[in-house]
Amino acid sequence: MNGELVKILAVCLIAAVLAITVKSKSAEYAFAIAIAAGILISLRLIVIIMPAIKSFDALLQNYGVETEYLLVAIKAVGISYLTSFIADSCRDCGQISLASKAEFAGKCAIFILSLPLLISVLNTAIGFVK
Amino acid sequence: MVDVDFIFKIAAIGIIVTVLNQVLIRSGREEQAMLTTLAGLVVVLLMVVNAVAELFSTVKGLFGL
Repeated sequence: MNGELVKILAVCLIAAVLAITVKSKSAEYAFAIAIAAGILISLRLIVIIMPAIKSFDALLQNYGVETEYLLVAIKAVGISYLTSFIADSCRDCGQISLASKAEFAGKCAIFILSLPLLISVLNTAIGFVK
Repeated sequence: MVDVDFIFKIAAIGIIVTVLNQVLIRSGREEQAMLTTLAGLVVVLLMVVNAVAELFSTVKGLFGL
């Protein structure tokens, strides 16, 4: 993992230098370079972290934890990651309002995703009260 | 497949297009300069959109969205 970390940090630095180099001529290419570097690093990290997630999942299934609710949490992590990626890219090129809209859309998506969970929690709570 | 070369390709296209832009402007062909700039932008944006699509499909597959 340490070798991979150094590679990823190096790619970050190189992409930042390239982005600054082309920014003075045309800001669009700097934006494209930043997004491309972000995608590259994200894909690399996903490939690295997938075995860890799989083993964690298998461990939890062995213990028989209620996987339905854990699935909601994992999906929420995925949604939040994609949303923050796009929002940060928008902020990078100065579109702060678009970034806020993207984040708001992500919040809505997570809310809709977790609605069944909220309902079941409310039902359980009301069942206790009654 | 998104590689490290991807970033260098985009940077190279950007630099080449900028240089061509300057050359064409100096030699008086302004419309061609603008067309070259636009073409370079379109090519780069298409590449980036492809890469973003790959990222989204990978994350969707991983998180089961």
